[in-house]
Amino acid sequence: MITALALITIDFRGDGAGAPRDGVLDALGPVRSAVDWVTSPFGNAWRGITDYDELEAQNDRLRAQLDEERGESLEVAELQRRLLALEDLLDVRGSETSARRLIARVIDAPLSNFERTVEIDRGSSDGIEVGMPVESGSGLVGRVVQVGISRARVELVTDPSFAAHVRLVRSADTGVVEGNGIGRNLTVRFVDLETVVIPGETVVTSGLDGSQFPSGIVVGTVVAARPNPVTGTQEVDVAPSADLGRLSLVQVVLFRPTVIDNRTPSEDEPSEGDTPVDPDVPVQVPRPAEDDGETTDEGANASLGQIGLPAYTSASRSTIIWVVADPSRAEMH
Amino acid sequence: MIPTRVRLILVLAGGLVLQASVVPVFAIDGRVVDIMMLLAVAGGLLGGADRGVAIGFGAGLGTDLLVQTPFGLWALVGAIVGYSVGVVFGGFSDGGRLLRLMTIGTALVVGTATFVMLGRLLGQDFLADISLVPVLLTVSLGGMVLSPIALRSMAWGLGMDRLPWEQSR
Repeated sequence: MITALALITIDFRGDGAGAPRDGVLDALGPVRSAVDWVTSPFGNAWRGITDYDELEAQNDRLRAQLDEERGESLEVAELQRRLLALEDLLDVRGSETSARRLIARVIDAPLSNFERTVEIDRGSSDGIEVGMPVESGSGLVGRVVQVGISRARVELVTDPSFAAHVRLVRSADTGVVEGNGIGRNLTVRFVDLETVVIPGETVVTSGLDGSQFPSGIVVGTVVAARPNPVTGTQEVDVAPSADLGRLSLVQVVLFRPTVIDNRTPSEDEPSEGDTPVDPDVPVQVPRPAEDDGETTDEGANASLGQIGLPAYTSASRSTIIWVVADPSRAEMH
Repeated sequence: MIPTRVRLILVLAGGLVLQASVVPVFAIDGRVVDIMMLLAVAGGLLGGADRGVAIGFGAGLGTDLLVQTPFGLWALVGAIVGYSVGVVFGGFSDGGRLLRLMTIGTALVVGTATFVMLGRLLGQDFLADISLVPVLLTVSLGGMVLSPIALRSMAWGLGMDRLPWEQSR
């Protein structure tokens, strides 16, 4: 029992169990796939018996939804075309539109009665990494928290430990969305008290520098807002857009966040392995995963002049670009 | 002759593979039988408190490797369950099948409830959102149905030729 308590303590310190869990996920992967293949007829029959009513209702619901979305998809395609044209004109690239997606199947097979994650049938061999956002057709589902070779686990947006930086579409004010548990609305905190928040307003990820999510992924719609006298801000209740109770197919957004560290060089001089940067040479900013050469069509070359005067990049920290902050030139796109 | 320790590891590893592969296929409304907790209970019943705590710890550690709750929490619960069952019911050789089934069902309910309680104490707030009654029913009834297989497997793991109540007949 003392050993168990010690393990819990170690886990809470963050020195945790990631590697053994990843190992078990990988080791059991082939066994589970084989058993899935063998038992799928029995499993389908079992689900047919235990979930028949639900499946019938779901079928009807999906038919109605399909009719509705056939019309909407034409409209969306036209809007998307216009958005891309406008982005070209303004010379900006929304990271949300440029990040590549990977479709994954949700494995509807709980290992335990107390699952706080869902499992998908894609893993590190498909380019999936911890932290990548996961969405369904209707909105943000969560983020990847564990990756095996051929499977990964996704923490849902409703999980109490989930947090992401978001933007209210109408007012453009930002805040931090947090989960409140399964079946409950999300809460956006730190919204300015002056901001007029209207029920039904859409909430999307902000994509601010350093955010784990690209901009523009729909999170949900506003249900209600109330002032928080303690923080002097508003708290906004948001209904998640994704139907988290009926996930079957999801998309993993192959996105890696850009981390901007605006320390001055004097605080931390270049060490061995750090490469000086020529101010005139564009630097490859590690943005969406496609920049690694998978399906690059837009790239993410950023002129350093757009974000400040360059100092140097750290070869030992491949995802960090150090810049000298120059507030007079700073712009956030 | 396979050493007892190796046998027990094989039994627990087999349970883990079943829990991760076969059990989820037969989930009822998203609820599954807890094979590893069942093995902890079987360990306590057949091995007594000393062996029960070790078997329960091992079984719980296996579950910890599968799920995302704090690592060691299931091991702690398994150890408590194995030890408690061993202290209260361990080594009894008579009492009938019904009493054994009731013992197993009750231990599984108490073990699962203990996990939820300790989990909430450790800040696992999501446990508050889970409907516990269907989970407890699935775990206990499913465990009782599978208990003959679990008991025989654990008896093999402990190097017993027969179950204690069979020897007393």
